[in-house]
Amino acid sequence: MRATLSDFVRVLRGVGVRISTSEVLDAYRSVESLGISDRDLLKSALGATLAKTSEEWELFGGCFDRFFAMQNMELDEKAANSNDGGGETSNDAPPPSSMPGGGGGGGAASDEELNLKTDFSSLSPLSQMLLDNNPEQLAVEISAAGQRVGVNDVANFTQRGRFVRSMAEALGLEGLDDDIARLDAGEPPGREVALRLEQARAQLFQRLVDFVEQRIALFASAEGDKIRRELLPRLKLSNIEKRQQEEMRKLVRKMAKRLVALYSRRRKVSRRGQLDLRKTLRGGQATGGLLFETHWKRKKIARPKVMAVCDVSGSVASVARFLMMFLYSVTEVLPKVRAFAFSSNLHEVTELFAEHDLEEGVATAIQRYGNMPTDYGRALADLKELCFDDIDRRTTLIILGDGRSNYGNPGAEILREMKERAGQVIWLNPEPRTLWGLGDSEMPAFLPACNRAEVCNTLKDLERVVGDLLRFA
Amino acid sequence: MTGEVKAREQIAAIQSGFELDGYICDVPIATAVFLARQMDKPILVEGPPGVGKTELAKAAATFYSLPLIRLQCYEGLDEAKALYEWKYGKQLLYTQILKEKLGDLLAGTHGLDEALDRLHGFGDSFFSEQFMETRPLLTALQQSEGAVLLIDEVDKADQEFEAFLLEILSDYQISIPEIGTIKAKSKPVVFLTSNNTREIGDALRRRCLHLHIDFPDSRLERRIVEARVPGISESLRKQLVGFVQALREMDLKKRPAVSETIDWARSLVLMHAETLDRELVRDTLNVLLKFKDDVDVVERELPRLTDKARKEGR
Repeated sequence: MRATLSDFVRVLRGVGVRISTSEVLDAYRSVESLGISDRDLLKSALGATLAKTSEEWELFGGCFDRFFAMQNMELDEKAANSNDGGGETSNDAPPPSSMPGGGGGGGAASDEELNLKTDFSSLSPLSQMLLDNNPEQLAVEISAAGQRVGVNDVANFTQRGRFVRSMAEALGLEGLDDDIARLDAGEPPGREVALRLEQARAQLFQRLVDFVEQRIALFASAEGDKIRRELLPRLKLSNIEKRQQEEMRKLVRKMAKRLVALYSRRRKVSRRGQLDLRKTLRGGQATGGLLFETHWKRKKIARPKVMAVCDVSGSVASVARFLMMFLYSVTEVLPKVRAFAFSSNLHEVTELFAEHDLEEGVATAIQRYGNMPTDYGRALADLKELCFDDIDRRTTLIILGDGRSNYGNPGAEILREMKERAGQVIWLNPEPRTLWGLGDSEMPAFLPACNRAEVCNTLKDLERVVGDLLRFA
Repeated sequence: MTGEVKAREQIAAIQSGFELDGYICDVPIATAVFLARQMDKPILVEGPPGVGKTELAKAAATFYSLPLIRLQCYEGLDEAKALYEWKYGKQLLYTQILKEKLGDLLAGTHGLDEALDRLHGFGDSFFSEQFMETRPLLTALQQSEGAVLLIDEVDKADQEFEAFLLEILSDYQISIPEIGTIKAKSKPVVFLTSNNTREIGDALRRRCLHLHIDFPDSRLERRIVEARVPGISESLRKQLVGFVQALREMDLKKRPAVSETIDWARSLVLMHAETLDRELVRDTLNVLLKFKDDVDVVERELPRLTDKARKEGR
């Protein structure tokens, strides 16, 4: 049961439930005291010990049903025991309740059966078991073989054949094949047994395939999710296919949520403090040294005021959607964000985002302002006109764009002007640094006007930059 | 195997015991309570407001006949409010009274150093348990028979408070700088409830069993109403539960919880209602719904909803 439980834990971890070792121990203890025969009870016990949030509880429920639908715990237990006990299982096999009926030998005379039975002793254990036609025993053996070859480590579908084969070998396929060959070459009664064995062999393989496929469905999907989740943040934004966008959105949201947590936590800290003696004393001077009012030391955390400008022109068309999605998430997360989008003329999209949900807001913004030739000079001039007065030293200006201005005036001097007023200017460029300055890229002109300029074409980059922004803002 | 049977019997006993107290629960809840008791672990209960998270702790206290000690969390809750506080007034008063005694004690000492030395010889009498005001957490640990400790709405407290709970929840002990470590005389059964207004930290989650209570299905809810509102006719019970269940499907600001169902059932009984009709529902809707917008939305749908509920109740 320990093996089953740890397999189950692995499945849960695969779908994203965080489970620590101490929780596994708890689960084990709870299962020990409650037993495994009552499924509802088992589910509540494991749920209480393994799932730690309501979302995880949902995930857990699905996994539990899938996992234990195919997993017969008691069977596994027996399998484990038989593994421990060595090779005695086949000798201990209960007497056959009925002879195999599928092979068409149902009407065989009883003395013939006896005859065959005497022959059985010379056959391999697997052949004997197949002829015994004891499905339960067979299931136990299959489970045991599965554990021996580590079928739960299966990672993807291409490994199916390999695992079926090695499980069959673990069951003693060699002996079975030898038996079939030997009997087939021999006398007619033996040949009939060979025929039956051959049919049983085919059935066995079908069962093995089913068994492995079930495992693949369970474990490989968990693995695959894990791989995807680890990979996606590192994927180039422009390479992300449509079908991955849903996943991507989830990631952006998750990131946004984490940022909110970070942000709200920091705000709490500011309200704590020790008595600010100097200030209190100073306040007391007005009342002749009587300290009427207490002042507390505050950790002041300036809320970052963010202005984010996003390029949605043709040259960045492939990543514009994600830059905008990111922009949208930022407006959701931080309270004071003004968002702008431009290709040649610049427009404020803060309100648009506030009114629509992510999907619609981003689509509308791109449709309305996107896919036209870029003109940075024009856009920056517009930006200056729109919000120059709002920029102060607490403002962070983020520009998402490739800095390609179609050989027009880049307007770098406007940006420099803004930098002088703003707290910091951060440029996030989806192009790799080696391309900066090549062709119509005006990055070299912009660089002096930025406090930081970063390559940013994966979600990881975005996350890091925003994290920094919150830390130092 | 006998252990298993025993465990299952105990869970059934918890269920029926709770039921006697008017708290109807399903298997996961009873199992969690059983495990918490068995493994000495706190339970973190989550779920929408009004599904009986706090009631669960009360029921458990009645069932195990232990005193219920409750700590209501709020923003700014700190150790002095949750754990212990020195009785400053008493300390001050005693120093005043003992002033003369001190004079006697210190008689014959020369210089400050000597006087201090002598004082040190008397130990920290002013920082002993006599001068300590115990707050809920410490009180719970000091109960010799054990207790049910309810830490209500732990999500309302600050992050720091959570960290401070960790020691108590994992080892059932508290370290007080002036006195030392106080261990639980008998481990209390701890319930923490949360409405998830803030993410509870992983460290805290890891130390707890997790129990999610959702809105009950109609069968369970009918039983709950039956237990809580005796004297309600069966058909009305079916109808009103059906109505509430339908409301929960709708897009409302705040969906009616079990506590609201019970309140509604009570008010209907007070009004001697036998069946639901539109007038009645419209007049009593404010018991179920707590937002004007919700009431407006539901009123528009009222004919359909009542008809459906009446059909179901038949």
